[in-house]
Amino acid sequence: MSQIILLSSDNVEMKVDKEVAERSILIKNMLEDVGETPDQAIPIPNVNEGVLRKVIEWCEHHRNDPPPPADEDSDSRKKSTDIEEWDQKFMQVDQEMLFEIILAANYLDIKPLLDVGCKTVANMIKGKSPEEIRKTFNIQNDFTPEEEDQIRRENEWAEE
Amino acid sequence: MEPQLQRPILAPQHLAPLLDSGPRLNNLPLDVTFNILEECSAYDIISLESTCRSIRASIRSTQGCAIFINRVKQDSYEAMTIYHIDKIQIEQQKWRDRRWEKDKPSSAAPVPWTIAMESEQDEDYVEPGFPAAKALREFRMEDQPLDEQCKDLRKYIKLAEFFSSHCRLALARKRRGLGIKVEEPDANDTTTKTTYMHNTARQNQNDQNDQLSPFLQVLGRLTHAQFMKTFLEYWIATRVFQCYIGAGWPSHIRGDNWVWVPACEKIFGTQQQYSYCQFGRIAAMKEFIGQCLGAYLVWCDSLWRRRSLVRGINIQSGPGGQKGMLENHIQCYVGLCTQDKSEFLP
Repeated sequence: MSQIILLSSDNVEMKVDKEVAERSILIKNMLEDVGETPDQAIPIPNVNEGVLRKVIEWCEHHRNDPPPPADEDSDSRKKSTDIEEWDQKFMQVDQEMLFEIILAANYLDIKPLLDVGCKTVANMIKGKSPEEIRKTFNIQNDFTPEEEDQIRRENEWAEE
Repeated sequence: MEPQLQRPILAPQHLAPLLDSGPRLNNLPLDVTFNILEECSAYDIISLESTCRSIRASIRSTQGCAIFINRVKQDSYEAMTIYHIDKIQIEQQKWRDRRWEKDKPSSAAPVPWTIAMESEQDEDYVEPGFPAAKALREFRMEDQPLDEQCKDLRKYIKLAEFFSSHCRLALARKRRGLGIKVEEPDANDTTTKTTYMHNTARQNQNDQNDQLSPFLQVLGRLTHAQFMKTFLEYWIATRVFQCYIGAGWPSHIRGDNWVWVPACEKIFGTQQQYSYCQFGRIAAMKEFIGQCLGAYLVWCDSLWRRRSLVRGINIQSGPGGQKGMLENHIQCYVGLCTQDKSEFLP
């Protein structure tokens, strides 16, 4: 099986099965454009070694998955609670890594991985108050007191 | 002149910079934020909006609003589906048995039900002077700015919740409070069974229903147009509830002194679209319609209380057989009678 070399943003080379790397639509298109398996490493400038290894781990595990449906509005789309067990464990990382994986999946165009990441975040948000969300994600409240008042008024109906 | 030392001006607490610079929920690229929003419930999106400016800006963007609106539709549908799951199953079985008995000689395949509503083309059924078509056009929220839709829909989620829990109770109370007369099919439409619900017991207006006050309070704040938008266009009219439209108001409910306000218009798609409906969902649709009418009654009730203008309600339902429609369908007409037509202007 042919292999290609990926080069992370911190200049670490990683050998990967072509089939695995092609879970990334970005890489797949790139390889199609080149026409043959390149000898040189393919630079992935936005993804560092640690994150790239995680992404490759995910792609390895899902190498035989069928391609995602083209219709994004499909009703068959799974709900946020429906994350496969393996993926749930895979996503048990610190928040920084979680968001790095999401960003990498977005950059490399790996839709199923992006979905899993976003669903994981959505599950962390689920049922929380704004203050709890801020705490969970270490978000600074940058509203002025006046803005907070306004938001409270706007959302009063939801708290009745 | 010696330069004066200036004390550093501290940034206000709410503008204090964050300590680390890694990716976090509030500094993700917009497309990634949208992906996360798509996985959140409507209520979660509302909570998110109150966390910080950048997230709020994402949600208030055109695409953010669109995601929110779409989520509201899905949430409403799912909530109602869960709420009615038992009812649907029972209804499904009843319907299947009924259909089987009726169709046994001709066809084994169940024919879905449809609902016929007044269409814009049927303006002649509405008393002159009542700008029905105009009002109906204005029910469409697509013409409004997304921000406005967003604002309205937030209110609507709440309404949908109220609706789920209170509507049945309201209907039961109304049935007790109002005189209900079930009439046999008339000469012109032998397939129609008509149920009239007149305000024959006006003395009942001011008693009871204390338990419904939160629902009535919210409903009472809505205009007729808002009510329609809530329950018909954005809540009930999800993709799975599409069916044929095209019937007019039957002649026997027209009258010189009554203004019949159409309950639904263009909320359902075409006959072709309807053929995609699943059997189970048809039963759900009937349930929805029943509830919709119930909510309409409650809304009327609130009007009654507030202004004593509405004089009557007519609900007609039953199998029909109009040309161009599927063999079996259900017709629903909901009318309000008022002395002041302006009451219904949006």
